[in-house]
Amino acid sequence: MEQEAASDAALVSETLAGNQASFQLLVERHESRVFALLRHYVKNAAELEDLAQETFLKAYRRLDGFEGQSSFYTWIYRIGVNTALDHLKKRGRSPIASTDDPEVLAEPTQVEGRIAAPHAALERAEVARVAQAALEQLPEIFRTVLVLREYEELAYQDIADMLGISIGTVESRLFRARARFKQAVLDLHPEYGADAEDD
Amino acid sequence: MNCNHATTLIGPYLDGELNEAQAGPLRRHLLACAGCRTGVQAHKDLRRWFVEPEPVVVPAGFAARVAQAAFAGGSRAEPAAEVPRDTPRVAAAAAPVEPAARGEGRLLRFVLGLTSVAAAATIMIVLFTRDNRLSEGAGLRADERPRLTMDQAVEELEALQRAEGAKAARR
Repeated sequence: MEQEAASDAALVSETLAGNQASFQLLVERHESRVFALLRHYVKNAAELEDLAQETFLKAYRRLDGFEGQSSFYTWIYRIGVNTALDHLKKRGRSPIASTDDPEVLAEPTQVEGRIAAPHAALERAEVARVAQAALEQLPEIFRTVLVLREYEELAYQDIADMLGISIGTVESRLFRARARFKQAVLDLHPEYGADAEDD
Repeated sequence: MNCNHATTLIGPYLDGELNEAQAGPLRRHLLACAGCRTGVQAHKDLRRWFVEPEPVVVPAGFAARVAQAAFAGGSRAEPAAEVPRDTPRVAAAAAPVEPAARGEGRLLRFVLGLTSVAAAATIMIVLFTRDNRLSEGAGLRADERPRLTMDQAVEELEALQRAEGAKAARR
């Protein structure tokens, strides 16, 4: 990790010095993770590629602002998440609207019932499809913390740094996001409820 | 520790985000509370839904195209290399062609603008010289007339009308 961080920093310096090949290498190193992150926000392959390209071009333009205090992938993730949220906003899905901010709305965080673990016979692709459909029901701020934690396995501190929020807010959002996710799965697929399985 | 507090800590606990001072009391609570132990299992069940659909496929040549587009834009502060969303992605690789096309468009607009300004100026000059012919030998002054107020202009106009009236009466 240390080695990789040093290499990223070196590639950044070389890019700033005008070396196109170094920037290409930096993109190659992080493109898979950026694509994996962004596909939680857009389905269409062409749209996904456009978003990924936009993310890296924004990173290039802001490269001299990268101070190397956080890892490069955390930094590029932050740009990717913001690019995805801006994109959804343009398409009419506002991440946070003052009138329906899910963090200020009094909402139940305890969901009645629970979902069972996916059945062993269920195809991996089907499990992923159900989870993705449930994620799409969530407000963007909840979807983002779930994606960063559950798929990207980022530490709370990294998520907090990336989103510019406190660790306490990350905890609180994750708690609510998991409750919302569970509710969304139960709404879309009541058959996956633990109670339904017990019957 | 009560069950409500324990419930909020289960997620961070399973995520490995609690220090020992926080995790210890939670573990003791879980040993004594079957309901919260069920909560832990429910949390583990939930997390098993988060699986990646399939390996990510990055389009071939993506990094090369992005690097080319980035460097074609010149200064990092300029957003010139950003390719419009509805532009085919293949065109991103051909980004250097765009500035030339934009340059031609600008030149055409400039020439058209210049032509229309010249035409308007010609018409104005013709109209002005037709109505304001100076007598031969009259002095040409480059300096402007002093600005008049509305009252002064009205007074001048009335004086001219009176002079014209007097001339007509003499005739």
